[in-house]
Amino acid sequence: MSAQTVAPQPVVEPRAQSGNLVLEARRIHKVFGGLVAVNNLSFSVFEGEILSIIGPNGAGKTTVFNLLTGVLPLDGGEIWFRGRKLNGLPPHAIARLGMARTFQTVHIFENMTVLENVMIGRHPRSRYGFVEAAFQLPWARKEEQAIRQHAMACLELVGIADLAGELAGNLPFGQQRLVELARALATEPTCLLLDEPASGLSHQEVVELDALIRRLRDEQGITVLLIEHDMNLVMGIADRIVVINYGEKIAEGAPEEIQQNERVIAAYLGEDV
Amino acid sequence: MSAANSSVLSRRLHVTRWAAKHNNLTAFVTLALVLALLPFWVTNNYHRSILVFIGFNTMLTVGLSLLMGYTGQISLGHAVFFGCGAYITGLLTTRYNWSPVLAILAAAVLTGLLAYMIGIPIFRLRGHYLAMATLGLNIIFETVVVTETKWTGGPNGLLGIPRLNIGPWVLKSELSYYYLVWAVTLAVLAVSLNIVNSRVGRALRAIHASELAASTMGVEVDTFKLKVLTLSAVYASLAGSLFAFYLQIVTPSSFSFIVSIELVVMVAVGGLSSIWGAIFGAASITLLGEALRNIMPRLVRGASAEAELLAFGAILVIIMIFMPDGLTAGIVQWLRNVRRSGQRQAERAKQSPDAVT
Repeated sequence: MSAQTVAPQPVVEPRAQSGNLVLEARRIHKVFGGLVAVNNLSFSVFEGEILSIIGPNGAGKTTVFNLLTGVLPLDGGEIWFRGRKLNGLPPHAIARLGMARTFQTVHIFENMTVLENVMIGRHPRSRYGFVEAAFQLPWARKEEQAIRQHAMACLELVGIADLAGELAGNLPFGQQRLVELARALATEPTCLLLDEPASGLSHQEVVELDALIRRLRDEQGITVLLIEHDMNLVMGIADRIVVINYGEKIAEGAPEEIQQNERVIAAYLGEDV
Repeated sequence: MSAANSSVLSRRLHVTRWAAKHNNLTAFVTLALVLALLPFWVTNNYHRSILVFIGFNTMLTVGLSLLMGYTGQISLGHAVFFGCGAYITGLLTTRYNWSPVLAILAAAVLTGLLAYMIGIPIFRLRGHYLAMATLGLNIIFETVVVTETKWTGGPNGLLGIPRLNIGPWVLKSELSYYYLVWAVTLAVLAVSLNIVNSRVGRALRAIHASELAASTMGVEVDTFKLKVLTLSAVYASLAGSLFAFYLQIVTPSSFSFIVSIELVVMVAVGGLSSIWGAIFGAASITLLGEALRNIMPRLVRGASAEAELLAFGAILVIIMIFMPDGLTAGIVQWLRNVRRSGQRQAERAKQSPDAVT
């Protein structure tokens, strides 16, 4: 973890720049068997904003991420990312376009070291293949060097550079989440999709995560899409919130608007209290 | 994490990587030297032929280790690619009088293409289903080879394959094949070690660990599976070609379902994701097979090949129970324990110097 802990900053809301549209879901639809998981959902994500998607368990949040990243095919609607239609593109092509994600249940490569995990994140930003590797061609070596350096920088960014040589599977859960985050950052994403990054973290770790996400947005200009159940984190960090329930959008707006929205309170917050 | 601290760490990491790489290099050079000198000690032609077979099996096992151990894609049909290499080489040299070297290259290209084309539909399957489908490949291959008598010679095999010649130089002796086969094996080994420790190797291991995570990190999962299958098929084809020239006859039984299984066993015994383990697995299982073939008839009167397989199976069960990570990992662990207990004894001796005289 970082040496000097960043105190939670006072909430200064940089409102969504009305300008550049990064990601747009147009009436996306997904059905599992007879169950409508995502129902004609539309939302837009603007450059440099932190957009949080919240909703009760089973509302379809993770399914939305799976649709956005191409892990699941759409049953209807369109997804546009930086002026390109993503429909039908495989996950690796979408990653190459600059969309990276983490998983609700961590999916790190347990059989590899932390550094190697993050080096995988450089895959879409490097090129050399079987032949260059087999014969250790000079530019493959050079690229390998660059991959390692960039991966190391990503580890430093999330504050786990000292774990570089550890086997990822041996780390405690909270650190595995950070490995996943560093790995996603290594792909140099324009848009970062975080699926419940705070679940299973201690209070202190959540505070650090909060600061880290802000830093990623402010310093790297990364647009963040955040699924999260930790309402303190969401209300403090999100520029805008989209609330979904049963796969449908029931509200959208700034955190304070969402907190006062009656439908949200009824459908979501109300159930929790 | 301060910058100075992390730069020390990254330097240390660099050093360990350097050491790891040089360990590989040292091991490789040592192996090459041992192999170069081995024939001076092993002068018996029968024993040399066993070494040649270990070479064939190593080529096959290294490829299969890339596919199974590293990428996690089970293949129970690897003998098919071995057979394709052998039969294509045999056909081209006997029926069409191709020069041996050209035939080897053509076989490698054709077998690689075949593997690629098989891979497209077969990799739609995962896990046990993939294993079952690859199992089917053996049956198809065997049926084709046995029934297309006009081409393949049927059950009797393809006879009269010429000796391998490189230009005017014709390889005749056991020793020349030993050196040729192991030179090619070492090349296969070097290429594979390089691939494993690279961007490609990482991608393969990522696919093994989680296809979902690998694909969302930009790894072209399907393409990499196809390519690694093709590469391992090319290795198998090379082994098959050399095998054909070495024996000058290819028969269906050399590439049967049993051979596919034996190869998987070699990979498993060596330790799934280890190139060095693959050599070890190939060597130990080949030697074991030969030893059993000699010993079993002496132990059990009238024992035939089946008895050999029985003992083979029993030994494998024992290995898998006591060394589930493979023989290599098991032995390394055992050595470590021995060394540790040795250190403990040394420490004890130091503490009480009178006790030990």
